[in-house]
Amino acid sequence: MRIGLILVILLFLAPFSSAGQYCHEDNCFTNRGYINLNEEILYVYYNSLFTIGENWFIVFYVTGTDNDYDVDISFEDGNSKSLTLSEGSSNYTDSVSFSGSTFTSEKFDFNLYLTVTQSQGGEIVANSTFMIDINKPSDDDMFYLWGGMTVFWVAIGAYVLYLSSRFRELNEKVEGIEK
Amino acid sequence: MKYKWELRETVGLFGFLLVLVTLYFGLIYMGPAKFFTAPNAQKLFYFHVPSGLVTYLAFLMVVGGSALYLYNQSHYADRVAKCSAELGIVFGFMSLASGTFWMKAEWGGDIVSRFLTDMRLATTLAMWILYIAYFVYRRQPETSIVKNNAAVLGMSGLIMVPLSYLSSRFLRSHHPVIVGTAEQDSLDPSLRIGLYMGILAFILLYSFLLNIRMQIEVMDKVIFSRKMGNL
Repeated sequence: MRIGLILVILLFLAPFSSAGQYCHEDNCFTNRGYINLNEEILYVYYNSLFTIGENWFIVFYVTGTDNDYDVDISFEDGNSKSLTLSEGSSNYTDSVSFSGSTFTSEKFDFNLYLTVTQSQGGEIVANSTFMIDINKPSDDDMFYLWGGMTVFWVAIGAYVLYLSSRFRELNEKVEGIEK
Repeated sequence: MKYKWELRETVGLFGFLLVLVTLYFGLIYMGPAKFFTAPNAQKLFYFHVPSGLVTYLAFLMVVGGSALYLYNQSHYADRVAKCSAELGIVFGFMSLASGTFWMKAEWGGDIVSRFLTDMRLATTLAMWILYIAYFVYRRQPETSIVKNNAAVLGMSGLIMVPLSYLSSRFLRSHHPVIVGTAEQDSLDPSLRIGLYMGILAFILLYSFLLNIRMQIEVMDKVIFSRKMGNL
Protein backbone atom coordinates (compact mmCIF):
# COMPACT_ATOMS: atom_id res chain seq x y z
CA MET A 1 0.00 0.00 0.00
CA ARG A 2 2.74 2.41 1.04
CA ILE A 3 4.90 1.44 -1.91
CA GLY A 4 1.92 1.94 -4.22
CA LEU A 5 1.41 5.42 -2.81
CA ILE A 6 5.09 6.28 -3.34
CA LEU A 7 4.90 5.02 -6.93
CA VAL A 8 1.82 7.15 -7.61
CA ILE A 9 3.59 10.23 -6.20
CA LEU A 10 6.70 9.48 -8.27
CA LEU A 11 4.60 9.04 -11.42
CA PHE A 12 2.85 12.32 -10.68
CA LEU A 13 6.15 14.14 -10.19
CA ALA A 14 7.94 12.57 -13.15
CA PRO A 15 6.79 15.09 -15.80
CA PHE A 16 8.15 17.97 -13.68
CA SER A 17 11.50 16.42 -12.95
CA SER A 18 13.24 17.70 -16.07
CA ALA A 19 11.27 20.87 -16.56
CA GLY A 20 14.26 23.13 -16.01
CA GLN A 21 16.59 21.31 -18.34
CA TYR A 22 15.54 22.99 -21.58
CA CYS A 23 13.99 26.13 -20.23
CA HIS A 24 12.96 28.58 -22.93
CA GLU A 25 11.05 30.96 -20.70
CA ASP A 26 11.94 34.65 -20.64
CA ASN A 27 13.04 34.55 -17.03
CA CYS A 28 15.54 31.80 -17.78
CA PHE A 29 17.84 34.20 -19.61
CA THR A 30 20.09 36.94 -18.37
CA ASN A 31 19.77 39.25 -21.35
CA ARG A 32 17.04 40.56 -23.60
CA GLY A 33 17.67 42.48 -26.80
CA TYR A 34 15.35 43.64 -29.51
CA ILE A 35 15.47 44.29 -33.23
CA ASN A 36 13.09 46.60 -35.05
CA LEU A 37 11.61 44.94 -38.08
CA ASN A 38 9.29 46.69 -40.52
CA GLU A 39 6.31 46.94 -38.23
CA GLU A 40 7.13 44.52 -35.51
CA ILE A 41 9.68 44.16 -32.77
CA LEU A 42 11.67 40.98 -32.55
CA TYR A 43 12.75 40.21 -29.00
CA VAL A 44 15.87 38.13 -28.51
CA TYR A 45 16.52 36.29 -25.24
CA TYR A 46 19.96 34.87 -24.52
CA ASN A 47 22.54 34.32 -21.85
CA SER A 48 25.57 36.56 -22.09
CA LEU A 49 27.69 33.67 -20.79
CA PHE A 50 28.27 30.64 -22.97
CA THR A 51 29.54 27.84 -20.72
CA ILE A 52 31.58 25.28 -22.62
CA GLY A 53 30.05 21.86 -22.17
CA GLU A 54 26.49 23.15 -21.79
CA ASN A 55 24.00 23.80 -24.56
CA TRP A 56 23.40 27.47 -25.26
CA PHE A 57 20.00 28.73 -26.37
CA ILE A 58 18.80 31.87 -28.06
CA VAL A 59 15.06 32.48 -28.13
CA PHE A 60 13.18 34.75 -30.54
CA TYR A 61 9.81 36.21 -29.76
CA VAL A 62 7.70 38.37 -32.02
CA THR A 63 4.18 39.64 -31.48
CA GLY A 64 2.64 38.64 -34.76
CA THR A 65 4.25 39.04 -38.17
CA ASP A 66 2.72 39.78 -41.51
CA ASN A 67 5.85 38.58 -43.26
CA ASP A 68 8.18 35.62 -43.24
CA TYR A 69 11.65 36.45 -41.99
CA ASP A 70 14.88 34.49 -42.13
CA VAL A 71 17.17 35.02 -39.17
CA ASP A 72 20.85 34.21 -39.51
CA ILE A 73 22.70 33.80 -36.22
CA SER A 74 26.45 33.65 -36.56
CA PHE A 75 29.37 33.95 -34.17
CA GLU A 76 32.42 35.87 -35.28
CA ASP A 77 34.40 32.67 -35.79
CA GLY A 78 31.91 31.48 -38.42
CA ASN A 79 29.73 29.13 -36.37
CA SER A 80 26.24 29.87 -37.54
CA LYS A 81 22.67 28.69 -37.64
CA SER A 82 19.49 30.06 -39.11
CA LEU A 83 15.77 29.86 -38.64
CA THR A 84 12.64 31.18 -40.28
CA LEU A 85 10.06 33.26 -38.47
CA SER A 86 6.89 32.34 -40.29
CA GLU A 87 4.02 34.65 -40.89
CA GLY A 88 1.62 34.13 -38.04
CA SER A 89 -1.11 35.58 -35.97
CA SER A 90 0.43 36.36 -32.61
CA ASN A 91 3.04 35.52 -29.98
CA TYR A 92 5.35 33.66 -32.27
CA THR A 93 8.33 32.03 -30.50
CA ASP A 94 11.21 30.02 -31.86
CA SER A 95 14.66 29.13 -30.68
CA VAL A 96 18.06 27.97 -31.79
CA SER A 97 20.60 26.07 -29.74
CA PHE A 98 24.36 25.69 -30.00
CA SER A 99 25.89 22.61 -28.48
CA GLY A 100 28.29 22.90 -25.57
CA SER A 101 31.15 21.68 -27.77
CA THR A 102 30.80 24.60 -30.24
CA PHE A 103 33.75 26.26 -28.51
CA THR A 104 36.74 24.77 -26.78
CA SER A 105 38.53 27.80 -25.34
CA GLU A 106 37.64 30.95 -23.43
CA LYS A 107 36.75 34.10 -25.35
CA PHE A 108 35.63 37.47 -24.06
CA ASP A 109 33.43 40.06 -25.78
CA PHE A 110 32.77 37.61 -28.55
CA ASN A 111 30.47 38.96 -31.26
CA LEU A 112 27.23 37.31 -32.20
CA TYR A 113 25.76 38.74 -35.41
CA LEU A 114 22.06 38.57 -36.12
CA THR A 115 20.90 39.30 -39.63
CA VAL A 116 17.20 39.37 -40.42
CA THR A 117 16.16 39.12 -44.06
CA GLN A 118 12.78 39.00 -45.65
CA SER A 119 12.10 35.51 -46.90
CA GLN A 120 10.56 36.86 -50.11
CA GLY A 121 13.25 38.75 -52.00
CA GLY A 122 16.05 38.36 -49.48
CA GLU A 123 16.12 42.03 -48.54
CA ILE A 124 18.02 42.69 -45.32
CA VAL A 125 15.60 44.11 -42.80
CA ALA A 126 17.86 44.51 -39.77
CA ASN A 127 21.32 43.81 -38.44
CA SER A 128 22.33 43.58 -34.85
CA THR A 129 25.35 42.52 -32.84
CA PHE A 130 25.35 41.09 -29.35
CA MET A 131 28.35 40.34 -27.21
CA ILE A 132 28.83 37.26 -25.14
CA ASP A 133 31.59 35.73 -23.05
CA ILE A 134 32.62 32.16 -23.53
CA ASN A 135 33.62 30.52 -20.29
CA LYS A 136 35.53 27.32 -19.75
CA PRO A 137 34.59 25.86 -16.37
CA SER A 138 37.32 24.35 -14.23
CA ASP A 139 37.86 20.68 -14.88
CA ASP A 140 36.44 18.43 -12.19
CA ASP A 141 38.65 15.54 -13.16
CA MET A 142 41.89 17.43 -12.46
CA PHE A 143 41.43 16.51 -8.81
CA TYR A 144 41.44 12.83 -9.74
CA LEU A 145 44.47 13.22 -12.00
CA TRP A 146 46.54 14.86 -9.29
CA GLY A 147 45.15 12.51 -6.64
CA GLY A 148 46.16 9.48 -8.68
CA MET A 149 49.55 10.95 -9.56
CA THR A 150 50.27 11.86 -5.92
CA VAL A 151 49.46 8.39 -4.60
CA PHE A 152 51.52 6.93 -7.41
CA TRP A 153 54.67 8.96 -6.81
CA VAL A 154 54.39 8.78 -3.03
CA ALA A 155 54.21 4.97 -3.26
CA ILE A 156 57.29 4.52 -5.43
CA GLY A 157 59.16 7.31 -3.63
CA ALA A 158 58.49 5.78 -0.22
CA TYR A 159 59.64 2.36 -1.42
CA VAL A 160 62.86 3.75 -2.91
CA LEU A 161 63.55 5.62 0.35
CA TYR A 162 62.91 2.43 2.32
CA LEU A 163 65.33 0.47 0.11
CA SER A 164 67.90 3.23 0.29
CA SER A 165 67.87 3.47 4.10
CA ARG A 166 67.88 -0.32 4.47
CA PHE A 167 70.78 -0.61 2.04
CA ARG A 168 72.76 2.03 3.96
CA GLU A 169 72.00 0.42 7.30
CA LEU A 170 73.09 -3.04 6.17
CA ASN A 171 76.11 -1.65 4.42
CA GLU A 172 77.29 -0.07 7.66
CA LYS A 173 76.71 -3.36 9.50
CA VAL A 174 78.68 -5.33 6.91
CA GLU A 175 81.54 -2.82 7.08
CA GLY A 176 81.45 -3.07 10.90
CA ILE A 177 81.73 -6.86 10.72
CA GLU A 178 84.60 -6.69 8.18
CA LYS A 179 86.56 -4.35 10.49
CA MET B 1 81.48 -2.29 1.06
CA LYS B 2 81.79 0.74 -1.22
CA TYR B 3 78.92 1.67 -3.48
CA LYS B 4 79.90 1.37 -7.14
CA TRP B 5 78.18 2.70 -10.23
CA GLU B 6 77.27 -0.40 -12.18
CA LEU B 7 75.09 -1.42 -15.08
CA ARG B 8 72.02 -1.60 -12.84
CA GLU B 9 72.39 2.09 -11.89
CA THR B 10 72.49 2.98 -15.58
CA VAL B 11 69.36 0.89 -16.10
CA GLY B 12 67.66 2.63 -13.17
CA LEU B 13 68.63 6.09 -14.38
CA PHE B 14 67.47 5.33 -17.90
CA GLY B 15 64.19 3.99 -16.53
CA PHE B 16 63.67 7.10 -14.42
CA LEU B 17 64.42 9.41 -17.36
CA LEU B 18 62.00 7.44 -19.50
CA VAL B 19 59.34 7.86 -16.81
CA LEU B 20 59.88 11.63 -17.03
CA VAL B 21 59.61 11.53 -20.83
CA THR B 22 56.37 9.53 -20.49
CA LEU B 23 55.12 12.10 -18.00
CA TYR B 24 55.84 14.93 -20.45
CA PHE B 25 54.30 12.96 -23.32
CA GLY B 26 51.15 12.10 -21.40
CA LEU B 27 50.53 15.36 -19.56
CA ILE B 28 51.67 17.97 -22.07
CA TYR B 29 52.36 16.64 -25.55
CA MET B 30 49.14 14.64 -26.01
CA GLY B 31 46.77 17.36 -24.72
CA PRO B 32 43.34 16.54 -23.29
CA ALA B 33 42.22 13.11 -24.42
CA LYS B 34 39.31 12.77 -26.80
CA PHE B 35 36.44 10.32 -26.36
CA PHE B 36 36.80 10.18 -22.58
CA THR B 37 34.37 11.52 -20.01
CA ALA B 38 37.32 12.65 -17.90
CA PRO B 39 39.95 13.81 -20.41
CA ASN B 40 42.44 14.95 -17.76
CA ALA B 41 42.19 11.94 -15.47
CA GLN B 42 42.82 9.81 -18.57
CA LYS B 43 46.49 10.85 -18.25
CA LEU B 44 46.74 8.30 -15.45
CA PHE B 45 46.55 5.70 -18.20
CA TYR B 46 50.28 6.13 -19.05
CA PHE B 47 51.23 5.01 -15.52
CA HIS B 48 48.29 2.88 -14.49
CA VAL B 49 48.66 0.34 -17.32
CA PRO B 50 52.48 -0.04 -17.17
CA SER B 51 52.41 -0.46 -13.39
CA GLY B 52 49.63 -3.04 -13.80
CA LEU B 53 51.61 -4.98 -16.39
CA VAL B 54 54.77 -4.85 -14.24
CA THR B 55 52.67 -6.17 -11.34
CA TYR B 56 51.80 -9.19 -13.47
CA LEU B 57 55.46 -9.56 -14.43
CA ALA B 58 56.56 -9.38 -10.78
CA PHE B 59 54.03 -11.97 -9.65
CA LEU B 60 54.94 -14.24 -12.58
CA MET B 61 58.55 -14.00 -11.38
CA VAL B 62 57.28 -15.17 -7.97
CA VAL B 63 55.62 -18.12 -9.70
CA GLY B 64 58.80 -18.93 -11.65
CA GLY B 65 61.05 -18.55 -8.60
CA SER B 66 58.74 -20.64 -6.45
CA ALA B 67 58.50 -23.39 -9.06
CA LEU B 68 62.26 -23.51 -9.42
CA TYR B 69 62.72 -23.61 -5.65
CA LEU B 70 60.29 -26.49 -5.34
CA TYR B 71 62.07 -28.26 -8.18
CA ASN B 72 65.73 -27.95 -7.10
CA GLN B 73 65.74 -26.02 -3.77
CA SER B 74 67.58 -23.10 -5.43
CA HIS B 75 68.09 -20.33 -2.87
CA TYR B 76 68.64 -17.83 -5.64
CA ALA B 77 65.21 -18.67 -7.11
CA ASP B 78 63.65 -18.35 -3.66
CA ARG B 79 65.27 -14.95 -3.23
CA VAL B 80 63.95 -13.81 -6.61
CA ALA B 81 60.45 -14.92 -5.60
CA LYS B 82 60.59 -13.18 -2.22
CA CYS B 83 61.95 -9.88 -3.56
CA SER B 84 59.73 -9.85 -6.62
CA ALA B 85 56.64 -10.35 -4.47
CA GLU B 86 57.51 -7.20 -2.54
CA LEU B 87 57.92 -5.22 -5.77
CA GLY B 88 54.70 -6.68 -7.13
CA ILE B 89 52.88 -5.38 -4.05
CA VAL B 90 54.33 -1.88 -4.55
CA PHE B 91 53.56 -1.75 -8.28
CA GLY B 92 50.18 -3.37 -7.65
CA PHE B 93 49.33 -0.67 -5.14
CA MET B 94 50.33 1.99 -7.66
CA SER B 95 48.17 0.40 -10.32
CA LEU B 96 45.17 -0.15 -8.05
CA ALA B 97 45.34 3.34 -6.51
CA SER B 98 45.78 5.19 -9.80
CA GLY B 99 43.07 3.00 -11.36
CA THR B 100 40.68 3.83 -8.53
CA PHE B 101 41.15 7.57 -9.04
CA TRP B 102 40.73 7.23 -12.79
CA MET B 103 37.71 4.97 -12.41
CA LYS B 104 36.01 7.44 -10.08
CA ALA B 105 36.50 10.25 -12.60
CA GLU B 106 35.64 8.25 -15.73
CA TRP B 107 32.89 5.90 -14.56
CA GLY B 108 31.69 7.57 -11.37
CA GLY B 109 29.56 5.59 -8.94
CA ASP B 110 30.48 3.76 -5.78
CA ILE B 111 34.07 2.50 -5.67
CA VAL B 112 33.41 -0.37 -3.25
CA SER B 113 30.55 -1.82 -5.30
CA ARG B 114 32.67 -1.55 -8.46
CA PHE B 115 35.44 -3.56 -6.82
CA LEU B 116 32.88 -6.16 -5.80
CA THR B 117 31.05 -6.44 -9.11
CA ASP B 118 33.63 -5.78 -11.82
CA MET B 119 35.59 -8.99 -12.33
CA ARG B 120 38.84 -7.33 -13.48
CA LEU B 121 38.90 -5.18 -10.37
CA ALA B 122 37.85 -7.99 -8.04
CA THR B 123 40.36 -10.54 -9.35
CA THR B 124 43.23 -8.01 -9.38
CA LEU B 125 42.50 -6.97 -5.82
CA ALA B 126 42.27 -10.63 -4.78
CA MET B 127 45.63 -11.34 -6.45
CA TRP B 128 47.20 -8.37 -4.67
CA ILE B 129 45.84 -9.40 -1.27
CA LEU B 130 47.08 -12.95 -1.85
CA TYR B 131 50.62 -11.70 -2.35
CA ILE B 132 50.34 -9.50 0.73
CA ALA B 133 49.59 -12.75 2.58
CA TYR B 134 52.71 -14.23 0.93
CA PHE B 135 54.75 -11.19 2.00
CA VAL B 136 53.49 -11.38 5.59
CA TYR B 137 54.15 -15.13 5.72
CA ARG B 138 57.75 -14.56 4.70
CA ARG B 139 58.41 -12.16 7.56
CA GLN B 140 59.52 -14.94 9.87
CA PRO B 141 62.71 -16.98 10.29
CA GLU B 142 63.42 -18.69 7.00
CA THR B 143 63.39 -22.39 7.69
CA SER B 144 63.07 -24.82 4.81
CA ILE B 145 59.44 -25.48 5.80
CA VAL B 146 58.63 -21.77 5.60
CA LYS B 147 60.33 -21.56 2.22
CA ASN B 148 58.47 -24.61 0.94
CA ASN B 149 55.11 -23.32 2.14
CA ALA B 150 55.84 -19.88 0.72
CA ALA B 151 56.74 -21.42 -2.64
CA VAL B 152 53.42 -23.28 -2.72
CA LEU B 153 51.60 -20.05 -1.87
CA GLY B 154 53.65 -18.19 -4.49
CA MET B 155 52.60 -20.71 -7.12
CA SER B 156 48.97 -19.58 -6.72
CA GLY B 157 49.87 -16.76 -9.11
CA LEU B 158 49.75 -19.40 -11.81
CA ILE B 159 45.97 -19.14 -11.49
CA MET B 160 45.56 -15.59 -10.20
CA VAL B 161 47.65 -13.74 -12.81
CA PRO B 162 45.92 -15.22 -15.90
CA LEU B 163 42.55 -14.95 -14.15
CA SER B 164 43.07 -11.25 -13.51
CA TYR B 165 44.56 -10.56 -16.94
CA LEU B 166 41.87 -12.39 -18.91
CA SER B 167 38.92 -11.35 -16.73
CA SER B 168 38.14 -8.28 -18.84
CA ARG B 169 37.91 -10.51 -21.91
CA PHE B 170 35.78 -13.35 -20.63
CA LEU B 171 34.09 -12.23 -17.42
CA ARG B 172 31.72 -9.37 -16.60
CA SER B 173 33.82 -6.23 -16.58
CA HIS B 174 33.76 -2.60 -17.72
CA HIS B 175 37.53 -2.57 -17.82
CA PRO B 176 38.76 -2.16 -21.39
CA VAL B 177 40.99 -4.74 -23.06
CA ILE B 178 44.38 -3.07 -23.51
CA VAL B 179 46.28 -5.65 -25.52
CA GLY B 180 44.07 -7.28 -28.09
CA THR B 181 42.47 -7.08 -31.48
CA ALA B 182 40.26 -4.22 -32.69
CA GLU B 183 37.20 -6.43 -32.21
CA GLN B 184 38.06 -6.68 -28.54
CA ASP B 185 37.78 -2.92 -28.16
CA SER B 186 41.53 -2.61 -27.69
CA LEU B 187 43.77 0.41 -27.48
CA ASP B 188 43.50 3.44 -29.74
CA PRO B 189 46.73 3.73 -31.81
CA SER B 190 47.31 7.35 -30.70
CA LEU B 191 47.83 6.14 -27.13
CA ARG B 192 50.31 3.40 -27.99
CA ILE B 193 53.56 5.41 -28.09
CA GLY B 194 53.13 6.76 -24.56
CA LEU B 195 52.05 3.35 -23.33
CA TYR B 196 55.07 1.56 -24.79
CA MET B 197 57.41 4.18 -23.32
CA GLY B 198 55.73 3.76 -19.94
CA ILE B 199 55.97 -0.02 -20.08
CA LEU B 200 59.68 0.08 -20.97
CA ALA B 201 60.34 2.64 -18.23
CA PHE B 202 58.60 0.54 -15.60
CA ILE B 203 60.31 -2.69 -16.66
CA LEU B 204 63.68 -0.94 -16.32
CA LEU B 205 62.72 0.46 -12.91
CA TYR B 206 61.49 -2.97 -11.83
CA SER B 207 64.79 -4.58 -12.90
CA PHE B 208 66.78 -1.93 -11.04
CA LEU B 209 64.73 -2.17 -7.85
CA LEU B 210 64.70 -5.98 -7.94
CA ASN B 211 68.45 -6.04 -8.22
CA ILE B 212 68.86 -3.66 -5.26
CA ARG B 213 66.31 -5.59 -3.21
CA MET B 214 68.10 -8.86 -3.89
CA GLN B 215 71.41 -7.36 -2.85
CA ILE B 216 69.80 -6.22 0.41
CA GLU B 217 68.57 -9.77 0.92
CA VAL B 218 72.08 -11.13 0.37
CA MET B 219 73.54 -8.59 2.81
CA ASP B 220 70.90 -9.55 5.35
CA LYS B 221 71.89 -13.20 5.01
CA VAL B 222 75.59 -12.38 5.35
CA ILE B 223 75.02 -10.40 8.56
CA PHE B 224 72.74 -13.10 9.95
CA SER B 225 75.23 -15.90 9.22
CA ARG B 226 78.14 -13.89 10.71
CA LYS B 227 76.10 -13.24 13.86
CA MET B 228 75.23 -16.92 14.11
CA GLY B 229 78.91 -17.78 13.60
CA ASN B 230 79.91 -15.48 16.48
CA LEU B 231 77.53 -17.14 18.90
